Amino acid sequence: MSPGTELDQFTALSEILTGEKKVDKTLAGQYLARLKTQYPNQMQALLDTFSSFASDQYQLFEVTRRIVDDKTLGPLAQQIIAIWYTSEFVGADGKTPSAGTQAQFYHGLLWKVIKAHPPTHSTLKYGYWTKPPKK
Amino acid sequence: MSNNYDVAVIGAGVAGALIAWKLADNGARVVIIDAGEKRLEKDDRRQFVKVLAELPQARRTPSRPYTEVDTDNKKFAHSPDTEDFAKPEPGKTLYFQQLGPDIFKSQYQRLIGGSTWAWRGNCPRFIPNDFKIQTRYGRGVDWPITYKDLEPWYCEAEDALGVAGDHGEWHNLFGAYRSRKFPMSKIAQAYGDLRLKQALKGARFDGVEIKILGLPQARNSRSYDGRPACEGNSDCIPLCPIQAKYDATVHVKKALKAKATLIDRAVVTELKTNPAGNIREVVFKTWDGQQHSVTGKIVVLAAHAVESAKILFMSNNGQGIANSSDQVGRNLMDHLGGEGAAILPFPVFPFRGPQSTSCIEGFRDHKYRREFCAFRLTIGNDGWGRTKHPFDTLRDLLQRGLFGQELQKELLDTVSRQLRFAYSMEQLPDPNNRVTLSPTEKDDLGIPKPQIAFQVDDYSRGGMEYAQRVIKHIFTVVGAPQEHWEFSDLKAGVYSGSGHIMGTCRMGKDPTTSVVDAECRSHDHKNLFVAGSSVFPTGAPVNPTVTLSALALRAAKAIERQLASA
Repeated sequence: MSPGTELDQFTALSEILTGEKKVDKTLAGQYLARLKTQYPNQMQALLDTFSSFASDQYQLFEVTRRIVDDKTLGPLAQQIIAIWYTSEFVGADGKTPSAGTQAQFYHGLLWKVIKAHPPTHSTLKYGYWTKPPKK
Repeated sequence: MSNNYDVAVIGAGVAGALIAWKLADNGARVVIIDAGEKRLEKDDRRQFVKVLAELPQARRTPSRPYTEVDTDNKKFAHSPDTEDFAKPEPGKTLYFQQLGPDIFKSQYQRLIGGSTWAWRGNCPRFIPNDFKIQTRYGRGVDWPITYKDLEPWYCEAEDALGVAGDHGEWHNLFGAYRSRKFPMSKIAQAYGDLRLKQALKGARFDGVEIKILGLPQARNSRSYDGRPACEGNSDCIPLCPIQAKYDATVHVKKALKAKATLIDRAVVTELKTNPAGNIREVVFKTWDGQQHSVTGKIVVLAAHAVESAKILFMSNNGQGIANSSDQVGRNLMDHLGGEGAAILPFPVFPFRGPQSTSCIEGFRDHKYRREFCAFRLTIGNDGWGRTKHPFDTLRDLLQRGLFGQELQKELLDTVSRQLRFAYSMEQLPDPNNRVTLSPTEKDDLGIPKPQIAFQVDDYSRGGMEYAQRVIKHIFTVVGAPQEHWEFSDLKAGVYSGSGHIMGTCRMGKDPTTSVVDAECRSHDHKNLFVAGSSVFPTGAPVNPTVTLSALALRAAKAIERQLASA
């Protein structure tokens, strides 16, 4: 299917880049807005590129070739992954990290992927750490 | 309200809070004066947690959750942080005026509860030889007390703080007998530590068994003293969100319940003596710049090693007090350290549970202690710790072009096998390592900033080299591939501070070479006591809190006796 709105496109691209089957649409809207404050034109170019092949049967190959490996679009793709994984991303000046809200930090995918939880946000009880995480 | 008290305690960190609690509980009229803010409510802690979560990773330093809240704390009661670990650039003024030749790298928190807000809770005791390294090894100085003198007070301190530990593992460790069991069973060890323990079974280095012990910690392994059991939030430093880890607000609250008075946002600027040589007045400035004072029959200076020395220097209108020995401000010590990190051949699943639950104590009193320092090793449960945060590992993988499922797989595989050891070294007292008052730089209240001269000696550096050899041996035994080892660069002189600031008001028998006596009483002013790690003559290689707490409780008893006899 060809993504419709900008948010739909961003959400669909985010799922491919992060490796998540389904990302939270509300967060997607927040992250898109945050990234656009720093990368307005680049984001438009990136989503335009993505929508041009979004229904291609070789979508993953095209994301690699035309976005991730692209010298212009690749760095922004990295920032999209970074914001989903950590809630922070590097600004347009290449230096300033921009952190998110507490809720966004707690939704950071990195912690889930490494089978942990965000620091200060355990939902488990005393001693769980003596056993390996569930598969 | 009268400003005359039985006891005036300066500093609401762990030492001051314990003394205030003990004395107030015993019926004394106690006032506590602290430079920082009173943030004792659950909402305050929630606010710190929120601030921390919303800071970029690079700015999540121990002091930041407390200084980044909407407050004037940073302005009027600056908590030194990483920004202060540098020689000031031209035109830029830092709180620490670093004179070099090396950089002093430890911080402290100036708020009610002090630095225990941001500690890890580790509570290993000193061992008997730590109190007499001059006699045993011809290094440093001996303490005026022995392990035996302090042992009952260690028990009291462990009960007060709520230390979880394994009596069997620690009883008689290097002769450090325990007359009482820990009040709680040990904190459950992390999965990775247990895997490592299996992999290191029977391992030795230089004749020493590599034995992994459960680390005694002031962290609840069950509900204790009205606080919950640890939930493994993996954020002991800078902040436990549920107060399962002890912090000194516990005893500040107990002191207040016992009718002590707390004056916060009040920076002590000097003590004034009377003609008889006793302290007659404690003078302080509140954040609005107004000057006030109180009196105490006894004055307890517990403002931590840097600020306590400053207050003594500023006293009697800048003439200084308690310094007939010329030792105030000298012998500044820290536990210098570093890390060794590796990718293990098996997963350890970090960031689940407390940041550290296990340690190796076999090198606490090694055979080379005449030549280089004793040290401890702790095992991190936080991946590569200071060496590399998972966010940085992610960044590396992104730069390799990974994304999607492949990224997830690689990230899990890498981070779940990351493990780091930290080494923590004994630093000898050196009179030239010292805190003085900056002759030119003042803070926003017009109070001189601290000026610090600091040098790391070969005794410490030799210990660091040896510690790295031990860690490399461990990595070899467990089969961690060498191409993924990361060590603090000793050739480049790399070391870190531990936030364990000690030694600026050292205790001793001889008034000509020490500031306070064995009960923490000033040799020069009999109604002045100094509490905290500033009184340590030497620092051993261990976290100072349980030792300074034991000394504080012992001093409280001496104060009680002195008040009764007055």
